[in-house]
Amino acid sequence: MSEEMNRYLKNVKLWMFGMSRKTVRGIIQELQNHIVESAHAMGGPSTVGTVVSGMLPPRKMAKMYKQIYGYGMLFKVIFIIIIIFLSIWTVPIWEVANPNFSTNFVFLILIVVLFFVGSKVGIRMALVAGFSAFITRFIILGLIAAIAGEHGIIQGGAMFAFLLASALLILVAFLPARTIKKWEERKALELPLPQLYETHTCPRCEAVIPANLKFCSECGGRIY
Amino acid sequence: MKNIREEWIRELKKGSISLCLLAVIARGKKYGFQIIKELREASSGYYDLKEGTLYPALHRLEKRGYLKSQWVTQESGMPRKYYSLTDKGIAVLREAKAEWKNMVRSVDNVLEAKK
Repeated sequence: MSEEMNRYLKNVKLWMFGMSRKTVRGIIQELQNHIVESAHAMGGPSTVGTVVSGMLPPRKMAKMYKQIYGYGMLFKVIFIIIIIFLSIWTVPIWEVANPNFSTNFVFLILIVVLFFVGSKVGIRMALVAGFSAFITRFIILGLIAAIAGEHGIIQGGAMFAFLLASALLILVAFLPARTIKKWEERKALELPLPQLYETHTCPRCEAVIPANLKFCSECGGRIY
Repeated sequence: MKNIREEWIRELKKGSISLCLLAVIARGKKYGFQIIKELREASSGYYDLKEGTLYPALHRLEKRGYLKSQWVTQESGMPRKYYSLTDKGIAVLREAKAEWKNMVRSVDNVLEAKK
């Protein structure tokens, strides 16, 4: 309909990269409708440019939606595949086969990737990513130990360090996700609407009270 | 009113937008532009929402299960997204309304107290 509108919507779409395609399609269609209807109310198609120039910058607009929907399933799967792949090469055994290879370096890359996933993809996904890394490392270590047989005895201290480093990966993913979630909850544009809760009736005064109370808030009677 | 910081007014609005949106949509299924218009008229211009505030707020309410949406194709061929309240949204609106009235009454009492 208008070059300005198309350019604006294209940029919003670009900034929503990584979100589910269906969601993006719906958002873009809704914004397009809004622009068309606003222009219509303002006097016709010639005002589309004015409407678009009064809208939020594409990056800001996309960011608001990204906070709500996060990354799509395809991207989540890709992140997990990358994390599993990197985790395989962090098991401190590959240096034995190739002294030039540094598992510590891969470990650092894995930390950066986990931190990114934790801060961008949400708390549930952060936990999945952290545990994927944790489990992968143990599976690879177990496989190598099984192949090496009695030549591959792992000492208690090394095993403890390995366990600690693996647990650290879960924390690296989880902590930024949790911090960002708390931060966004504070910033979120919403009235903290009352959550619906289970209720029951007080046997003494018949007042309807929350189910988790041990004493009636009206008459003070004990709830059995 | 110039002595009042804009930030405070913004916080007041922010704290009541979701409730107002639910109340407007409770009167029948509506689409985005229509909601902006009705909200502006009903509030005598106090709530003049920008699209960057309205649509993400609607999507957030939908994700929480308070709203449901439906695409309806217009005669012009343009699909339009209509929002309506879910059962959960109706229940939440009822409680939120009661709580809001309670708060307004309490604040009025405090503001108008003689002693």
